[in-house]
Amino acid sequence: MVLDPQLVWNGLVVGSIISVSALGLTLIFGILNFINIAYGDYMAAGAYVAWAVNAQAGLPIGVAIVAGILVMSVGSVVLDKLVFQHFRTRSPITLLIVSIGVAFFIRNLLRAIWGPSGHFYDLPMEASPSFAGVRFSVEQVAIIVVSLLLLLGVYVMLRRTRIGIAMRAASDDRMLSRIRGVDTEKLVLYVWLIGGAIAGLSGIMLGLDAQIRPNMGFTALIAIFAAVILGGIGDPKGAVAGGYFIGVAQEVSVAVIPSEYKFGVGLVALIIGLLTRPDGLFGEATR
Amino acid sequence: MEISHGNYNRRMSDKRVRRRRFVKAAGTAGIVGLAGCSGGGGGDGGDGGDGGDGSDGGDGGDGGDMDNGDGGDGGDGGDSILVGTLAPFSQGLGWVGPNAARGRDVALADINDAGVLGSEIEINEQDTETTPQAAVSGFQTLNNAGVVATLGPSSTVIPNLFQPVKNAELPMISISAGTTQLDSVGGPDDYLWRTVPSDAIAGRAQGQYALDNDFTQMAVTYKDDKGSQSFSAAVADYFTSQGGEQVADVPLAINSDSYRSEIQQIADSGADVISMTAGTEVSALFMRNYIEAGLDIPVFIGNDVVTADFIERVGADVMAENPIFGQAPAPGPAYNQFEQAHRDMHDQAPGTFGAAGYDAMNIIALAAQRAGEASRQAITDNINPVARPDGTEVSTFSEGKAELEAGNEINYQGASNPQDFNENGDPVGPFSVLEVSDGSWTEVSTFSAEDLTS
Repeated sequence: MVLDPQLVWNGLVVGSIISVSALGLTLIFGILNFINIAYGDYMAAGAYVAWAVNAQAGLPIGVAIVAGILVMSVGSVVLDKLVFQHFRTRSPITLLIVSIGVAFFIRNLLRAIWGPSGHFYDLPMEASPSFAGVRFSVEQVAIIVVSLLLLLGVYVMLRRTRIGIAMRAASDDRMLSRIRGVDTEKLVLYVWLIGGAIAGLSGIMLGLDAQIRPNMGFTALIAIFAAVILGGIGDPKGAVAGGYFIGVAQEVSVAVIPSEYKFGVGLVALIIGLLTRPDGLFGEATR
Repeated sequence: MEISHGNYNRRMSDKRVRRRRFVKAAGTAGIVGLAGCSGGGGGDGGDGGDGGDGSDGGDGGDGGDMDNGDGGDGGDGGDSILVGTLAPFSQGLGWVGPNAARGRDVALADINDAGVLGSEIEINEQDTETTPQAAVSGFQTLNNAGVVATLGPSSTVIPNLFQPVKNAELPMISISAGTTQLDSVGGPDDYLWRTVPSDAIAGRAQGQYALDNDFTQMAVTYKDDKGSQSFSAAVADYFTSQGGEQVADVPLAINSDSYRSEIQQIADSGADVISMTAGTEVSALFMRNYIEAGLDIPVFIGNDVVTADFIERVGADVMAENPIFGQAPAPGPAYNQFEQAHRDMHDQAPGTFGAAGYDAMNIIALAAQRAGEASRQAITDNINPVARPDGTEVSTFSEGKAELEAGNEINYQGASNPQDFNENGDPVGPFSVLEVSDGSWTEVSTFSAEDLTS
């Protein structure tokens, strides 16, 4: 079977968004050791803030993107101080339940402020150029380039900077890293700043590629979780690979299965991954 | 060496346990999250309206048996006459109820000025919440309240009310149900009518226009719910029955973030025309991806998005520049008069289904007036007679009342269409194909009722 290059391209775009989202989620999980269900709604909030700046305030999309990222970066820290910090010593399940409450709050706040209808960024709607039989929009190219730059940046940060190395250490064994002098509370601050910024950016990318809706992040969570689990919990490299794999697999699958079942492809990949690579795509060594 | 190996194994084991815990916790959270969403988040999950485009939607039970209620006399003057409105005022089709209610209130102002049998009409309004369960519950409330007739809900829920309506002998006129499931149900024996045409008629208009323009290969794509499937099936059935070929059948997943793959499938199918049926959210995203794809294949969109709001959402220029068509019932004989009255009362143009609400209210009041009593059975027996073609044409209640009091038979001419009911309580009227020009929907062709029913 010959792969349709258009479907592969579509998959790379979707995969880029899932990868970036999964990276942010797995970073937060690695340090804080709880599943933040509200992460999808952080994404939606970032997309809405950028939309408000772009479509309602009439500012350029570049300014809107920066605003969305900054608001969610700072907003994540504020939410941590207001909510999650008070449950830090509780079990991961308690934190997970709390995060569900935060998710509902954010989603309904977005709905209350901007209504339930979908929105698009104020960008021209026109036919996309094509190259070698593949149609690609400027937004799609930007999504892929920005994703790759971000993934590279986070990789370098984790491998080459003191903060990144400390994050990896704390992710592996928080108690031991604290004994060795790592200020884990400061790491928590950094991880919320970085994770929140990534959530905001990935939400904006999703909004650029699709449409902005209050539940956009929540509905994207299934694929993001699948990528995180497939890649290996807490493994940034695995999460990125898992994201691209699921994105491409679900888009390419429409060549052989009805398109309404394409979301199931990611879950099938997840099951196969859990059975064959129980420690994640790259195993223990990459963490 | 042994110690480090043991540590490694322990760490590996910890990671596996952690991973299992993550999967379990994520699954639990997902279930809780979904449960929460299904409870209250329907507002954005719904894709605008499918009520008029043929929803036969939900499977929420039959509503059980209902007794006849108390039949509601309505009185011979003095006491108000209670009429129900059972329509979606919230969730996915939440825009339908308010539009229809505004149209109803335009009729009501004239009715209460003139008086029905010396009384005024009072409205009891119930929200179907776009779900069969809430619709059945709302109907029970209206039945128990003793309403003598009711304006009825959308396609999504009305199949669940067929039996309860018949059991209660409570006449209902739907203001938005296009579903083909009503094609063989309705009329006095079933106590059911509708003031909007069947999707089968709309599908014929779409299919015929495509054939008239020499399109022979149609790709059918639709939001993946029963309502949109019903409308698409009506289009495809007619198109293929007249010699066209259906080359693709592509469902559109409801919460998808893009329909590029689906559009690629359509492009690969060799289609020369596309029929796309969905509500506002799905349609807007589909149109965006369709325009991005640069396809030069004309696309017909569903009835529910033939609205000013949809033009605003997608962009008037974009819609005018691309071969995008819609279809809607041609305005009825009384539309201009209704539109002016609507603007005078509400300071806005009528929304979709507003004229249908206006017509339903007038027909109920005229039926009571003709019967000389405001009871359920009397209204049921007189709905068809006030709309029959051999009477004097009237387009408001006050005109009709004057003719009836003069001993003449009347033929109500509606705002949404002529309201000439067939034996199943369905109106048969002309249908228009529209395109966007200068920022609004403009008629490009109209098919007569005879064209569409022959």
